[in-house]
Parts: sequence; C-alpha cells; structure tokens
Amino acid sequence: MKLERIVVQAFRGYPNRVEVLFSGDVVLFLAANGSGKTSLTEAFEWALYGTIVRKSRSKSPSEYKGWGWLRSAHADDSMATIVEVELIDVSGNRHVVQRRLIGNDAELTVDGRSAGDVRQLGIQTGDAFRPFLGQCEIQALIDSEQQDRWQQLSAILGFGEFSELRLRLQRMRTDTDHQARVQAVRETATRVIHPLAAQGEDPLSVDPEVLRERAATHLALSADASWATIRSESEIQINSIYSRDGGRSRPDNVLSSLAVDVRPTASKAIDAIKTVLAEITEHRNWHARNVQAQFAELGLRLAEQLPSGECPFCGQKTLTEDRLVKVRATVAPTATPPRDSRQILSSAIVELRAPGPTSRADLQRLIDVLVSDPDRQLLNDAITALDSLEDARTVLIGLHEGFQAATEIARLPTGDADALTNLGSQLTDAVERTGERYQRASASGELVREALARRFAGLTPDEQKRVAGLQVAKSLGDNAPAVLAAWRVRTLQGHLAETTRRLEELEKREMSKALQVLSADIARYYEELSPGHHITIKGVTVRDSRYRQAALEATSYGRVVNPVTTFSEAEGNCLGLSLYFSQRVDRNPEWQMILLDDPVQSMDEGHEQGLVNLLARVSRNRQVIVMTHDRRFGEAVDAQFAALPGYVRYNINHGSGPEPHIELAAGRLDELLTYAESNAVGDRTLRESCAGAIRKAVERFSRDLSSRAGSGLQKGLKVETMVDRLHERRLIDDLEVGTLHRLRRFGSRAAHEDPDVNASEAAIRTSVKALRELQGKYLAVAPKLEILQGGAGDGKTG
Amino acid sequence: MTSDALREVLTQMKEELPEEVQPVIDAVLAGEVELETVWNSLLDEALSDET
Repeated sequence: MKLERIVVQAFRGYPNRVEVLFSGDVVLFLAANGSGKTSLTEAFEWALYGTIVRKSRSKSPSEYKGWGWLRSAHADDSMATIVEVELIDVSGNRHVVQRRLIGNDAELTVDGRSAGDVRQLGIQTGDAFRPFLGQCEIQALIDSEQQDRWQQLSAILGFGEFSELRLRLQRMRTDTDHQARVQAVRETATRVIHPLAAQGEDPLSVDPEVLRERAATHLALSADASWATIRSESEIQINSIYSRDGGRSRPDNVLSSLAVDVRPTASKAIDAIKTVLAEITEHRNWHARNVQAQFAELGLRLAEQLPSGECPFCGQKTLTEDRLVKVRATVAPTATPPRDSRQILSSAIVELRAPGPTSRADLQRLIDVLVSDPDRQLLNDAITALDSLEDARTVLIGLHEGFQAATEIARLPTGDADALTNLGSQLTDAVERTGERYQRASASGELVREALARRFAGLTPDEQKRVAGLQVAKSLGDNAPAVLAAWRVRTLQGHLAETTRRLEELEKREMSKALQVLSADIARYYEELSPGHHITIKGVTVRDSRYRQAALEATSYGRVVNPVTTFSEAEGNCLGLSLYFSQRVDRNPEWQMILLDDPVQSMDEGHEQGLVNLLARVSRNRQVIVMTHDRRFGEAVDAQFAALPGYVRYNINHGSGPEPHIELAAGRLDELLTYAESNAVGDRTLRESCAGAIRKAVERFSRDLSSRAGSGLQKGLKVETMVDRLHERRLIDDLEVGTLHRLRRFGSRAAHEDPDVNASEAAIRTSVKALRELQGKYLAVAPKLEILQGGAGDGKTG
Repeated sequence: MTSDALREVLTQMKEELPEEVQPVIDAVLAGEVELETVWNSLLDEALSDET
C-alpha cells in the first residue's frame, strides 16, 4: 500500500480544503514549526486508524475528550471537518478512506461504504503495523515514566492488543452490570457462613462443598447429601427435639441461635431513671429549703431588732421563743447545697446515655432470621420501643445540661429560682416520659426473652446447643442459593484474575521474544544511525508491583546499560528510530511506504546524514515521506534525492493568516501538472505557486525528453538552453520550442510576482493543457521518439 | 507480532484455563466487540438461583 493523496478540510491547522499529492517515490515536506506538517501526519493517522498519537500518548488525556478538538479553530461554521486518504495497493487499485467529524464523534467510509475500520483493505490496525512514526512517539517513550513504559513498548512492538485486552479484563472484575446483585449474595453468604468460619477467616473463602459436608455430618447424613436434604433434615431434627416435651414448647418456626435479652439493660436504665427522679426531687426540696432558710434568716435579723417579740405589722406579741427556735432550725441545716446529690444525678444521666447491649441492629437481625415467625410482631414492638426511647433520651440529656446550669445560678441568693423551677419541671416530665418508654422497652424485651425462653423450655443445655447447631445448618440450607452463587462469582472472578495474570505473563514473554528477534536489527539500524555506537536490546523486565514498572534490558559493548538513564536525547531518538525501522518497516509487509514526522530532533549532522543514508536504502523498495522543520536535514535529503525522477518536495509557508500554503518545490512532470491544475482555483499566493510549478514542469519535460532520447544533455544546463538544444536536435518542432519558451517565461514571471503577468486560473489551465499535449506526444509512448528520431532512441527511461 | 499471535497465545492459554472462563477467551477469539456483555452473561449465570 502506498499513499497517493491526502485531502484535509477544516482539520487541525487547515481551516479550508487542501489537497496534497504524495505520488512520488521520495516526498519531502520542509516547513517551519507550526506550519501544518504534523496536521498532515495526523490526518493520515486519524483517517486510517481513528486515533491520534498526540492523544493516546498524552499525560493529560482529559484534554482530548472525543474528537471535536481536531476541528480547525479557524474553519468556517458551514465547512465540515473531513479527511480523505487515497491509497494504491500492490495491484494498482485505488482505495479512498474518508473520516468525517460528526459532533464529537467520527464516521468512517472505505471506498464509499460505511466501515468500522480499514481492515477490509488488508491493513492491520495495531500500533506495530502503522507505517508512520508520529512526532511525539519517540519522545513519549524517552520521557515516559516506568509505569507507562511497558504500555508504550508494548504498543511499539505490536502488543497493543495484549495490553488493551488485559486492561479490559482487569476492569471487568469490578465494573459489571451485576454489581448490586453480587454485593447482595456476598452479604447473605457472609452472614450465614460466619458462625462456621474460623476467627479471621473470610467466610466467602470457605468452599460450599466443605460447608455442605459439615452440615451433612452434623445432621448424621451421608457426605453427599444435597442442600435440599440438609434443609428438610435440619427442620425435622429441630422439630424432633422440641417434640420430646409433648410439643408444648415446640416452635412454630425457626429459632435463632442469637441471644437477645433487653431486660438487663432496661432494668439498669429504670434504676438510673429512679435515681434521676429522686435526685431531681432532692434538688427541688433543697432549693425550697434554701429559699425558706434565706427567708428565715432575714426574719431572724428583723426579729432581733424588734422590742419584746412584737409583730412589726400588727404590734401583737407573736414572735414567741418557740417559733424563733423553729425558724433558727430552718436556717442552719440547709446552708450547704447537696453537691453529692448533683454528682449522683449526673452519673445517672450518663448511665442513661450509654447504649445497651441490645441494639436495634441486633433485633433487626433476629427478625431476618424469624422471617415468618409470629414472634416477629414482638420484635417489631421492641424496635419501636427502642426508637421511642432514643428520642426521649435525647430530650432528657438536653434538659439535664440546662438543669445543671440553672442549679448553679439558683444557689446564689440572687439566683433565678423561677428558671430552676421551670427547668426542674421539664426535666421531671422528661425523666418520667423516658421512664415510661424504658418500661415499654423493658416489657417488650421481656416478651422477646420469654418467647425465646418458651422455645427452649423443656430442653436440656445439650439439646439447646444441638438446636443452635441445627439452626446454623438450616440457615445454610435455606440460603444455599446465595452461598453457591457467591462461591461461583468468587470462583469466576478468580478465574478472570488468573486469565489476566496469565495473559500478562505471556505478553511479557512474547515481548521479550520479539525484542530478542528484533535485537540484531535494532543494533544494525542503531549503528547505521549513530556510527561508532553499539547497543543490544536483551528484553524487557516488568516489576510485579502495582504500577508494573518496566525497564529495557540492554548492553553496550558488553556492559549492561539502561538506555533511558544513559542515553542522550539524540541517542534515544536513534534507538526509537531503530525500533521503528525494525518493526514497522521491516515487519510490515502490507505497506510499501514509510512516513516520518520530524525524525531528527536533537540530532547532529552526523546522525542526520546517517538517517539520509538509511532513507536512501529504504527508498529502493518503499515510498519515503519525510516531514521536517530542520533546514539542514531538508537540504541533505534534497541533495540525496534531487536527481531522482520520483522526488517531490513541498515547502509549507504561513502567510499573514492562519492558512498554510503548500508549494510544490520539486516533482515529476505528472505531479507538477496535477498540482498546478488542482490548485488553479486557489488564492493569489497559491496561483503563483502553480505558475512556479509550470516553470518546473517545462524544465522537467525537457530533461525527461532529453533522457528519453538518450541525448544526455549536460546536468545544470539552463532551461532555455536545454529547450533550444532539443530543437536543434529535432526532438521538438518550431512551434513547440516557442510554446516551451513562452510557458517558461510565464511560469517564471508569474511565480515571482511580476505585476505585468497575471497568474490567472485560465492562464494556468491553458499552460497545463499545452504541457500535457507535449507530454502525451513525446513521453507517453516510447516508439514515437524512435519514429521522430529515425530509430536513434533506445526507449529507456531516465 | 500480529493479531494472529494474540490468537495463538489465547488459544494456547484457553486450554490451561478453567471451563467457566473459556467463553471470555472465545469471545476475544471470535472478535466480539462487546466482551463485557459476555462477562455479564457469565456473572448472570453464576448469580442464578439454581442449586
């Protein structure tokens, strides 16, 4: 497969439609940075593979979401983003691959038909079989961190599919449509297996077969008893135990092995409530007595000032000694507030705040076990009572804190007694409410306890233990579907993990094998690119850490080296190019072309010349397309290939606007004429470059005709002299020599912006037509020359 | 290394893997785009109530 043509429209650096012919044997694009070279490489990659190296190697892929970023920022809204690539296969058949941007997505057609990829053309789509080397590919490998390097090497060596599959398998383990169902069976299985698992053992790691055998043994069944048998037998045996006391305590349903008893907690809480109530009463009494004492003290002071016990209001002798003794008695014992009593109150509240051993979750769990049991209502009532109690306790705790603060104030003679009385009343009400709710919770707990006790009534301790064991067996039997499903899922996930691990192992093995196979070629290419240097790639090591850090195993002159840490940037570039030529060129039979985008970064003249020599060798059987910003390298390519008939050179320039101008600087007669014809409708700059192509076409025609006739005109001869020599040798007639001179003058003057010569579309088309006629007459069929020359020509092409 | 190589490796690997997970490898070998659908189907089967 060779590249014939690329058309870009509103794509990357090209806001308008541009058609570029690649139909040479060696095609050079020389342009400054940012002139649109890489846009052409990316157009080729995107059209054929639907990817862009820039995106796939990016360290911040979130900036490249979808494909909308490929659209030229300067494109007119009415212009669609399209890339079209024309290829020619080994049989000479033409194929057109077009990719069009639709929103943030893309649509592909191959030879006019919708397609998923280009494999129908016999092209492999893996990274290792892409005939181009993107600008940032080598740099990305050199700059990559260890954890990314494996991925990149894998892609470069052709194992991208391995990595992609491995990552998909890894993702599948945790990212499934059935995650909620998986979680549910895991939880159920964990709950029912837990009583049988050893401490610290993952219940899900116990083989259900082992569980089934243990249950069968416990039930004295044969080892191969089915889950259904275990389910029915455990129920029979439970019923059998209960039937020994005449069936009086026989449970109607399953009995949990859980020990649930809310009574001790409730009793403890009720005791605390009684303490709280007593202490509150004590506080209020103390306060009342304190107020009385303060009043009595005032009265005594007043009485001391009164003569002979007379009342200050009525004048009668009412303050008798007996009454004063009683008042004095009221003052003295209440002088100290009941501090110890307050501490007891606080302790009682703390006791009420502490959660009991019977939690709501415990009760709920018991309900789950007693699904269809009539005692379920009892448990529901207990839960309701606990919920209600929680609410009451929250209120009580808040009030207690307020009451303590009010107590401190009330102790003072100026204290707010009303606030204390008010809070005391509220606190008393709250404590009483809490007490009531504790009573209800206690009663519910008692009912649950009695219900459980009834079930065990008449059973010996051994029988109770036996019943608990049978209950576990029955629970397993009842939940066998979940236990087995959890085990199957776990096994399946384990197999998937094993598959991933095995694939990873094979990927590493194959990569090492591939590197060993490529090693000799890599060393050869490396020495060709970097004379005097040597490297042997031994393989790749990937550490079995979370990040799968990778390193290249290499030696240089027999010493172990790490190319990433040892090599200069240019040497790293040479190594990357060596990998490219070894794999994507030598082992890529579908393509008879290579495309290098800026391959000489950081390279000196020696490395550049090494690459030119390498390209000269490769060009013997492949189309070579090179894009570079490096003028020195461009001139070296020019010097190497300028004499080659199939050499095409484009210069890309930026004008005043965002539109790059592609100028055909050298090419075969066909390319020159096609270029002039297809760009004749362009703007003035483009039309002037078409005129330049006409001038070059005159020169190319003259050289080709001279070569075809075997006349061997001297290299470096001026074009007008060459045309005259062709005429002198009767290779062209009088009219044709005039036409060629006229076309050369037009091309030369129009291309050099002579204001008197207009490079109009019509003038370009007329010129192309005239040259095509000459081409058809003299260059299309060899015998014509022989006739004109009287048999002098040998018919060989240059 | 070609796609054929991955196919070859997977074919070799498939023989060493338990039967339960082989449909995943089969899906890759058959070029199934929706590999995850195959996995979901296997999980669905594993989660079924059949005992």
